[in-house]
Amino acid sequence: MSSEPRKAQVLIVGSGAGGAVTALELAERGFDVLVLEEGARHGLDAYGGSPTEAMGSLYRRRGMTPILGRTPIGYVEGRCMGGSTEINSGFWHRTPPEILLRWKAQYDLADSTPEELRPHFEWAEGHVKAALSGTPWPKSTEVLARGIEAMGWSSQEVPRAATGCVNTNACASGCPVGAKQGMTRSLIPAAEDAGARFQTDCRVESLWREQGRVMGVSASIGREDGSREVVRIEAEHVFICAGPTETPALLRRSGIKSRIGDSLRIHPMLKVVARFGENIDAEKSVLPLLQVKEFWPEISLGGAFFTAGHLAMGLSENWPTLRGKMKDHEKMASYYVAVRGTAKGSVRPSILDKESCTIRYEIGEEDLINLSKGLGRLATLLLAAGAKEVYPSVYGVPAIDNPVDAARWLDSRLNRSALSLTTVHAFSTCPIGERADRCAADSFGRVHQYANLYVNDASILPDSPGVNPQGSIMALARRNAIHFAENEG
Amino acid sequence: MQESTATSPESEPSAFLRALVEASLPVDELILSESDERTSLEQTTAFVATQLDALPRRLSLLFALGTTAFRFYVVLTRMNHFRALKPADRRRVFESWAYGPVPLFRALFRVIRSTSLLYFFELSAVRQALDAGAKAEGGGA
Repeated sequence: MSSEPRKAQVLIVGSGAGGAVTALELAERGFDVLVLEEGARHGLDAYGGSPTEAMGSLYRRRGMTPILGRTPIGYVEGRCMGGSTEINSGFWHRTPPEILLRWKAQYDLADSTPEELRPHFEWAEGHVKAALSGTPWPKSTEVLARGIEAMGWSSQEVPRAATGCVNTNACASGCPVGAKQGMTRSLIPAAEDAGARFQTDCRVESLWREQGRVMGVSASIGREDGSREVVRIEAEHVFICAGPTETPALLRRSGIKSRIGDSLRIHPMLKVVARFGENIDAEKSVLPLLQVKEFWPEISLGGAFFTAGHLAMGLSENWPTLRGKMKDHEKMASYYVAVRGTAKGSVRPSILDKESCTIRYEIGEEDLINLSKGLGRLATLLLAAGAKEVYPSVYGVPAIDNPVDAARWLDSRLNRSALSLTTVHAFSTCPIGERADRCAADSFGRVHQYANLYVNDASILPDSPGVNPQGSIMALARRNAIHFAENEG
Repeated sequence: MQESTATSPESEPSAFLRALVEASLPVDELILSESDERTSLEQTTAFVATQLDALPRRLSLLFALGTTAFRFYVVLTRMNHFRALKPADRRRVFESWAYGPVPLFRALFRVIRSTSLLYFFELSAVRQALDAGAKAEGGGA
């Protein structure tokens, strides 16, 4: 954009899975759309670097956004054009029917049956080319399949928004060959073709409100000389699509607080490293493509991103005992136990730092039990697949090398303070639905008590979807955008 | 995977942070040239410092408070500053907190040990030394 924008019919804050869908749908329907993105726009030449380089250019706070609680949880999200779709694995799920029924029962979410959402999923799947890999599985997937078969558990190869993946193992650093269809490869170019404007390096500080309407935003825009300019941008309609932590933080900073940021849900994830007797070369291939569904929705098992650096982090809870294992890195791969997360956390703008927020989440007792059972099952599976040892990211549990020790975790509870947990799935900080006592916005994302303010990103999922959330976010965002266009157009 | 480039923290990393990072890394277990060892440590320290700069303010303050307590502990128990201890002693005292029984101490140093190990094992000199060591032992492929 050559000149700084000051006005738009529809202003969208954020260009990730929710913002990009909203921009494309509304631009194609003739709305004057302006998208404000806090991060930078990167080309493929900037993608595929080392994970630590990517942390500096693509991640919020360089990947240093921990979730606080008695068990701190490492959390990362994107901060760049395309948001977290640029750095995720591209795994694609439709929202499971059972989850949609729960959302109807608990939040009275309207127009959200599998049939009603089907066209939105199909539309999104067409745009991101979601499909199975179509190529031979990498070794880290093969051994997982071997273990699943030995256990007789149900599983699925997960479709990915990455047709033509050539195993660069750079999903988390931005796909350097453009195989992964993050928003910068799929919806954003289409939205631009339809007339949407995008302003990068633009951080929205607050919303500007008058009598039940949002009149616009105050934003800080980077200039070419490195300085920043604070501007007001007027808008007839405002969509906040800044992600599950920044959307509630921005709303609360702007004085909009009812049911905002009070119901953070996550999928807490416990990683393990498995050492096999054969070369796996996990660093040279895409992460494992299978997910075990036998224990879903409460527990999911699958494969994690692997580099030597991530391996060292994975072993670091018991580093004095395990550091000698690094030499076997070619025989190792990383896997995870993810639980649906039954607790509710919170997001609040920081009082010490206007550019950060405080994220809190206390692992629930049920989650601890599920993580323990999941560890027992995953370790059993990996040993059945031929692993010599399994190293969980749990302090004081350096190695599991036989099925009996693995099975102990089916009936024992992991020590909360010994866990090293991570998550890349956060949502539900502004839940939608007709239950005003539980929801921040109506079933189509309009924030209660505001005529022209909407949320349309991961924040709106009423509750945890129990699967990788990008598909759910895109389908609901499109449904909401169309509903808006039909009612406001 | 491409090689990481050096990072630039807001200010020059302190000698204390350098000593902490060195204590967290298995430099003495890898066959690195003196120059590679020095460069690896410098680059890893710069990366860790940059990551610490990125922490939310509240956590930065807590981290500073915790490391100050650690420094006092070292002076009181070892009668010397942490950075003045011999490398083996530094490693021992660091590990007594970073991998010890007190959850709060482990949490304090998790950010140091995780970020330093992540970066260190991305460095090509370190990877080469790791693979050379594995071959010499007949371990890795």
